[in-house]
Amino acid sequence: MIIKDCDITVDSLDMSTYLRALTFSEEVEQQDATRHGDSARAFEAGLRTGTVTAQFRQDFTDNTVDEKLTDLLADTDGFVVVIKPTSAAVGAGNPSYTATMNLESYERFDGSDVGSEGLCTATFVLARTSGDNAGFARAVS
Amino acid sequence: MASAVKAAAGAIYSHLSSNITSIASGWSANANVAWPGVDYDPAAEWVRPTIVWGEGIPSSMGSSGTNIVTGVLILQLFDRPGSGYGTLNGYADNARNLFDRASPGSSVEFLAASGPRQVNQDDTRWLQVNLSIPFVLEDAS
Repeated sequence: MIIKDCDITVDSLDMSTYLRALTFSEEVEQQDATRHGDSARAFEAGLRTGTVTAQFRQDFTDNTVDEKLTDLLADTDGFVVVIKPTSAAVGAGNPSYTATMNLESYERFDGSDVGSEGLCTATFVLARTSGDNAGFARAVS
Repeated sequence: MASAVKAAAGAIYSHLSSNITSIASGWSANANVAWPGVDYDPAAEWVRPTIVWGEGIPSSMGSSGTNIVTGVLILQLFDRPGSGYGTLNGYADNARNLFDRASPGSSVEFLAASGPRQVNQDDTRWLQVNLSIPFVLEDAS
């Protein structure tokens, strides 16, 4: 597929029209569970991690990129991030991924050169929640 | 997404038209500018502006995302031969000052001008120098 319509909502703000690039990954820690006598190294699945790194076109006007991300730097109890492959309605071919996250880092200027677009990068990680944060929930309806 | 190319061209030509006396104090937008697609009987000194549109690239996601469109404004400056290039180079300097890093409106941002370059030196009717000034258009919905 050609990515040109990826959809991201951060703390209820649709930031898709500012989104330039997205890295969305989930990992499962693998603990070495190899035993004496085994012929191959074996691993046991451990804790999951989820990371979203989003590059946005920077915008300092009210209620857009910089104001939202600046506010979220001070957020300590997590906020909801929703990602979809396209802006179309959620369905079997366009699932949504939802998680409660923290803003881990925010680069207001992403090394932008003179004469180039002003870009910024935000990295989100799974947040501590009152219950177990099981990572991204995938939904098709 | 509404294309902003026509409005951008209008802003660029308007910037030249309304500031033509900053290039040469005695010039007027009617007498000394060979506007594209308009019959023109050259004055003793004159300029021909041409916009060359370059590549457009998507800069953010979504059907209403922003595109970046590049372009170059070419200014061809003409004078009668016989007195050297001093006058033309002076006009070229003034034109550089007019467009260097200028923001004429309609989401157009000029970068740094290149030139003047002497061209067409075998022409016995006109001395000519060219300036090229690249710009970017942020084409948002």
